[in-house]
Amino acid sequence: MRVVSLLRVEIRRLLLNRMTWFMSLLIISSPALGLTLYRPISSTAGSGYSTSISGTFIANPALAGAIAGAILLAVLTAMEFSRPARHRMNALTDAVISPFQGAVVRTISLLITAAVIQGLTLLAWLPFTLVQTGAIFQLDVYVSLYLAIMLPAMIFAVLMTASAYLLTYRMDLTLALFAFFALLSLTVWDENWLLRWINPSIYYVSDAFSTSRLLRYILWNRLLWGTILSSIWLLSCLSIRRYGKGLVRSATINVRKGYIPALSALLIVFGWMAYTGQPFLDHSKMELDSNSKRFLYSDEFVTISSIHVKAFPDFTRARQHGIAEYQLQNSSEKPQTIAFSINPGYSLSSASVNGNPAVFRDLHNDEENRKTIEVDIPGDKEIEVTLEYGGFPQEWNILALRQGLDSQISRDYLYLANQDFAPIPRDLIWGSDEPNPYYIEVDLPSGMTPVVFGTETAQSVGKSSDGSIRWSIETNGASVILYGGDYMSRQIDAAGIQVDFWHSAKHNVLMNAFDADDVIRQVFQYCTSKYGPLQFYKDNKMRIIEIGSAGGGYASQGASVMGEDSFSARGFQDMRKGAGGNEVLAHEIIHQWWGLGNMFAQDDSERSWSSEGLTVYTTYRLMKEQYGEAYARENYVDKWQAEVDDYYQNFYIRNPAFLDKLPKAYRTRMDNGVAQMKQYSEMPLKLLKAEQLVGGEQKMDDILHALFNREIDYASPFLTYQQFLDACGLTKEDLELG
Amino acid sequence: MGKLFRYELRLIAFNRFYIGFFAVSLCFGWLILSTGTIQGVAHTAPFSPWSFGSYLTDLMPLLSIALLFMVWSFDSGQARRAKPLLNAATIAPFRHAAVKCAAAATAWLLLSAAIMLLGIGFLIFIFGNAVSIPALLAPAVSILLPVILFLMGSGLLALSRSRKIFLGLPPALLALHLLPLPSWMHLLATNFYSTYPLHMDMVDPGFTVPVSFIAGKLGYTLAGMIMLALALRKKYSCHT
Repeated sequence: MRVVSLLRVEIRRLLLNRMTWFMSLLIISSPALGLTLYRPISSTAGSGYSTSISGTFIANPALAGAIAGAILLAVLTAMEFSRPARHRMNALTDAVISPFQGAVVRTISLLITAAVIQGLTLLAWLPFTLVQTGAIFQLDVYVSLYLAIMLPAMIFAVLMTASAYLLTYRMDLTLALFAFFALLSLTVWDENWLLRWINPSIYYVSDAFSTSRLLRYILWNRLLWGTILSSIWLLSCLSIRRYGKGLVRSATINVRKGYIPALSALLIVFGWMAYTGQPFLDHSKMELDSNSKRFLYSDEFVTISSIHVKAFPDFTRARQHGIAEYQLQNSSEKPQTIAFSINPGYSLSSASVNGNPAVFRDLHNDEENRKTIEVDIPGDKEIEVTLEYGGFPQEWNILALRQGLDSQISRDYLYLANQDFAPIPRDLIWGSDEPNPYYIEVDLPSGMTPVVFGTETAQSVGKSSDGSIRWSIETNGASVILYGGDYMSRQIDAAGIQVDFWHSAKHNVLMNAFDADDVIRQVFQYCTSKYGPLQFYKDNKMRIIEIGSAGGGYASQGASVMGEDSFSARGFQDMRKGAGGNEVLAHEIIHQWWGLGNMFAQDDSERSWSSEGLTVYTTYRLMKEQYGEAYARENYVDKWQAEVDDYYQNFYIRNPAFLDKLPKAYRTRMDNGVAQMKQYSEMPLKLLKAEQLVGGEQKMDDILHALFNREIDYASPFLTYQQFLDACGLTKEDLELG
Repeated sequence: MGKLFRYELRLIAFNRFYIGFFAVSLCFGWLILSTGTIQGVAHTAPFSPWSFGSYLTDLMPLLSIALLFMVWSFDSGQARRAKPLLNAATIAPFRHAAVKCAAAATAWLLLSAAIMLLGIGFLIFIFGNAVSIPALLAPAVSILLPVILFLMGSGLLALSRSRKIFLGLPPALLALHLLPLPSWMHLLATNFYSTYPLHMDMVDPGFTVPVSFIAGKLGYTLAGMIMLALALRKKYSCHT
C-alpha cells in the first residue's frame, strides 16, 4: 500500500515538472525525424529512397522515436534519480522513505511516464499516418509497430539508466554508460538482430500481406532485453547505499533481501535461454557450399512415383503441421536408407512404412536452411512412406537482418517454400519420364486463397468444422512453394501468352490506376520481338505472383514471382526512381526467356555463367529503350561496375597475403558474396563487352535470338558459356574485363 | 601554476568517472577494432589512415560525452562548495579557470591517446611492420582538435547560462551524429573517412581531405575558441 501511495505522489510530482513535459514534447515530435532525416529501413530502389508505405509512415518514424525517446528518457531518468543528491536532500528523503522503496517508486513512475508518452505519441501521429497511408492503414499494425519498437526502447533506457545510477550514484557516469550502451546498439551490434535494443533491424514492412513474423521477432528481441535489463536493475538495487555506507558494504546489507539476487539470477537464465534458443533462425554453416545440394544418397534402386501432402498450418501459433505420403519403388529388394530435406525448425513426430512404424534419424545438420532426416525402408518392392511432421519454420541465418520475408504463417498471409511446406525426398530418381504428381490438401482460413508456384490452380473441396476451407491442388515435382493471402487474379494476353497474374486484393486499385497489365505486356512484347516467342509452356500459359517480400524475386518454368515493392505506387508514378522496385517485375518476367530449367541448368559448374547474366543484361536493354542511355548507364552499367570494383578493389582481395589476418566470419561473408557479384554484375559487364565486340546491339540481338531458338540437343539441353562465345565468335579471354 | 595544474589533473584522472569511462572507452574501442576496423574501410587497408580515422570517429560520440562531463564537473556540487574558498585565494579566477580547462583538456587527450594506442597496438599486433604510425597521426589531429575546442567552448558557455541547457548538449550531439548532414558540417566527421576515399577514383589513396572539410573543421575550431574565450571572460568556472 505504501509503495502505491508513494507512486501516486511521485507520478504527480513528475507530471508537475516542466522538464518532464518538455522532454515529452520532444519525444512526441521525434517521429518526424523518421520521415526525412533518419530513415533506417533499407531503400528497395537503386537510387532515391523508397520503401513500403507502412515502412515510410509508421516504422521509420517509430524507429526515430525509439532513439530519441530512449536518449531523452535516459536524461530524464538520470536527472530524477540524482535530484535528491543534487539538492542535498538525500539524507532527508532517506529518513522519510527507505532508499529501496524510493528507487522502486522512481523507476516505476518513470516507466509509467514512458507509457504515457507512448500513448500520446500514438494519438498525436494517428491523423497524419491515417491520411498518408490511406487504404493501406491498419490500426493494429500502426499500434503494434509503435508498441514493439518505440515503447520498449524507452523502457530499456529507463531501466538501464536507473541501474547505472544506482551502481555509480553519479549522473555523469550514468549518462556516459548509457551513451556506451546506445552506441553499442547503433554500431558494434549493428549486424546482430538480437542485440539491437534501441534500433531493431527492419528490412521491409509489408503493406499488402502481413507483418506478423516481423513483429514476432522484434518482440523476441524485446523479451530478451526486457529480461536482461530487469535482472540488471534488480542487481543494481543491491547497491542502493544504506546508512551512509559505500557500495560494497551497502550490497552486503541489501543482499539479505534474498529474493532480489534469486529473481535476478532467474531472469538472467531466462535471458540467456532467449538468446541461445531463439526459434526464428536456423543454425546453418555460414560458409556456402556449392556441393551441398549434390547427391549424397544417390540410390539407383529406389524410385519415387508420387507425393501426397495434407497440411494443417496453425495460424495462431504460426506453426506448420502436416502428413506427407511418398509412393516409392525399391527394386533392390533389400533394406535401404532414404533421406528427406526439411526445415530445421521442424521435427518428425512419426514415420511409417507400409503402415508399420519405421526407424528415422534427424541428423540436425542445418545447411542452407535445410536439415536431413534419414528413414530406413525394408526390401519390399512397393513402399508407402508416411511422415508426420511439424514445427515453427525457421529462416536461413545468413538472412538474419531481413527476417519475416522468406517464410510466414499468419492469418493474413502464408508463404511456405519447398522444405518449409513438406519434407523433400533427397536424391531419389523419378519412376517415369513424365513429371510425377504432387497432391496437396491444405486447410486455410476463409478469405485466404492458395496459389502455387506453377500454373496449377487450387480447388475448394470442403469446409471444416472450425470454418476453415480445405483446398486441393494437383501439381508435380519433388517440392512445392505455396502462397496464401487475399489473392485475386487477372488474365492478361501478353504477346500470345496467357498470363495469369495473382496479386493482393489490397493492390487492386493500384494495379488498375497504373495499368499494371500494360507494364507486364510491354516486357513480353519486348522480349518476344527481340528473342522470339516463349515456347516452353503447355497451352501458352504462365503465371506472375506478387508476394509479401521485397528486393527481388525468382522465376522458373511457368511462373515468375516478385516482391510487393515491384508494384508500389511510387514505383508506378516514377519509373525513373532507379533500378529496383518495378524493374524487378521486368527482370523476373525476362527470366522466362533466360531461365532456370529451360535455358540454364540449376547447378552450372561455371558459376558466373548463370540465368542471371543474360536476364540482367536484357533488363538493362529494356530500360535503355524505355528511358534512354543516360538512365540505363547510371542505374545499370555504373552499378555493375561499382559492385565489381567493390569486390576486386577490396584490400584483402588485392592483398591475399593478409587474408589469414581477417577473422573467419568476414572471410566467409566475402566468399559468399563472390558468386552474386559474378552473376549479377561481372557477367552483364562481359555481355556488354561482347555486344561491343560483335558490332553493336542489333548484332547481339540476332545472336541471342539464334541461341534462344537453337535446335535443342536433349543430351545437353542447356545453354553453355562456350556456346555463347562460339555464337559471338569470341573467346573467354576476349571478354576479360581487365 | 604547475602545481595547481597537476592537482587539477589528478583530481580529474583519479576520479571514479574518469576511471570508469577509461575502461568503457577501451572496451568499446576494442569492439570496433575487432569488428569494423579489421575489415578496412573504403577498400583501403585496415591500417590505412582512413580506417584509423574511421575507428576514431566511431569512438568520438563516446569521447565527446566524456569531455562534456569533464566540463560539467567544473560546476559540480563539490566545486560549488569549494568556491568561497577559491575566491578567497590569491590566484586570479581567470587563471584558475584556464588551468582547470587545461587540466580537463589534458585528461581528455590522455584518454584519446589511450584509445589511439589501443588502435595502433591492435594493428601492429596483427599487421606488424605494414603499419606506419606517423601516417595515422594526421587523421587523429584532424578529428581531435576541433572536437576538444568546440565542445569545451560550447560546454563552458552552456554551463555559464544554465545546467539545463548544458544537459541538452549530449543528446544534441548524438542526434547530430546520426543525421545525414554534409561531411563538412559533421563535427565528429561521421562517415567521412569511410566514404571519401571512394570518391577519389584510385586504389589506396594517400591521406588528403577536401577544402570544404578543412574549412568546416577550422570553423568549429574557431567557434570553439571564441566560445571558450567568452566563457572564460565571464569567469564562469570560478565565480558563478
